[in-house]
Amino acid sequence: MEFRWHFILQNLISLLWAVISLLVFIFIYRHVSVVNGWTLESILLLTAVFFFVDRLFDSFFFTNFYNLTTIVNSGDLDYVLTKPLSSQFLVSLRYFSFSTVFSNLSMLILIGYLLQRYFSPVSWWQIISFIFLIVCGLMIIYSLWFMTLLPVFWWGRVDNLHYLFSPLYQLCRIPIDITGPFFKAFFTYLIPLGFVATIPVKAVLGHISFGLLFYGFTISLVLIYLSHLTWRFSLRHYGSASS
Amino acid sequence: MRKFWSYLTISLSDAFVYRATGFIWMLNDVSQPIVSLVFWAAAFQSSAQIGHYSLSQMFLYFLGVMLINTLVETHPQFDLANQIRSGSFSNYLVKPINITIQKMASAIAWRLVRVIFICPMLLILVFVFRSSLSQFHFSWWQLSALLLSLIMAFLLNFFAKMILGLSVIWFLESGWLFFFFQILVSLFSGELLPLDLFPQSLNWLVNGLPFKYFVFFPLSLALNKTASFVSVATGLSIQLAWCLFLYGLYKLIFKKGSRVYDAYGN
Repeated sequence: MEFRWHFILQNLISLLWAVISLLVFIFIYRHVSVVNGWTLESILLLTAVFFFVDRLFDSFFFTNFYNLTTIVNSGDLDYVLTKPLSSQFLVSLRYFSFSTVFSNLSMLILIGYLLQRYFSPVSWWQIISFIFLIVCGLMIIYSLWFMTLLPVFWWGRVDNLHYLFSPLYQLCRIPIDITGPFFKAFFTYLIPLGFVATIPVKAVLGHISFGLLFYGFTISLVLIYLSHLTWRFSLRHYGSASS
Repeated sequence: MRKFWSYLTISLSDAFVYRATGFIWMLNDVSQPIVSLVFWAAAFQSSAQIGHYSLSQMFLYFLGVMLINTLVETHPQFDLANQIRSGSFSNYLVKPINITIQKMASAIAWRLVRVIFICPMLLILVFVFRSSLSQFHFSWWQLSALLLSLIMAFLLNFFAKMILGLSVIWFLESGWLFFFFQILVSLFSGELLPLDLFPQSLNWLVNGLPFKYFVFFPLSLALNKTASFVSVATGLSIQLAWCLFLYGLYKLIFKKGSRVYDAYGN
């Protein structure tokens, strides 16, 4: 508990970032009433869902992703490879960060409040498909982000490789379906970033087909498998700096 | 001056060695304004005018944010924090190295490389928006005001970040402070949303903080939004006052900090 103030401050600031993003939309919607069918309430819901997923991703994976690029360069990946456990599992989930607990709880409360105040009634089926799609979204973002780390085996020292995917990921903060029909299809089916926030929000509002739910499930499994294949392939190029 | 040039060339070669790192940072820096633009493009479908902005003005605004950040946003605080934590900060205290000049040379070098990265993108954008660009006419005094304001924005950024870096002497772990500062800058500099679209009731806060002069003020000069001589002169004077204030504060904190600094590892 030596760093408990640091822990509290980190949590508060992480929450502040979410609050600011919500505030920006509140300011924007003073000048417009609706953007492509998205009202202020629904865009706030989208932002809350995005930050909820984003903070879960941060807690589970981001520290590990940073760590991965470091241990590949230092040669410490050896210790992971020699353990009798899936190496991808170990490099992805070894550390867990608690620095986003406040934001996650606040976002959950906000999601609950918005749903109850503006979008009720919400059926059980809508809530279940919402949770299910958020899990799919996490799997999708994990796999895509993980694959962008793998060039580390070839490129060597690029300190911020774990930020390579971040620019594309930022698109999840806005509704994917306002980008026009081409990009909407692109971000739903090909690079399925829509499943991070937009599609779960649509599901909880009851605007989603069973087919899309099924596609989300399938594509997240496919991407996880693909990330595993590319990991196995990349490992063959591991030079093991230490030995 | 000779020292400055050697620091600059060393930092330049450093920035070229880590060009992939620089490239990834550039992608991260431009993604925020691009995402905002995508949203605004959709918002303008239902109305031609939002606040004082038309769609093409909003495009120019966020391109301006991108460009100004490329030119003026520096990050000496991370390096400085590491040096303080590892103890190599002692070098600045015992050797004839001027920390301000060395860090500034490094900041300028990284900015120069960043400008090279952004050039191709800029050329494409200028080509796409050539019709909106032709409406700009600057007199020589407006151009020099813009240049002056950009230089001061760079200095504001630089000294603020140096102060943040020095805070590690007291706090040891300042990541939260860096991030907190970044959040304030993004909101109150106009990076996320033009400051004139904020509610009127927040004007006292927006104008009272220095962050407006990081991006929004130089950008309003570039977009010809602040056109009268008096308002330009007033803005520049306030910007200069903030520069002097931050410089003074930096000097003071450096002096106090070097007294209490523990010099770990040495």
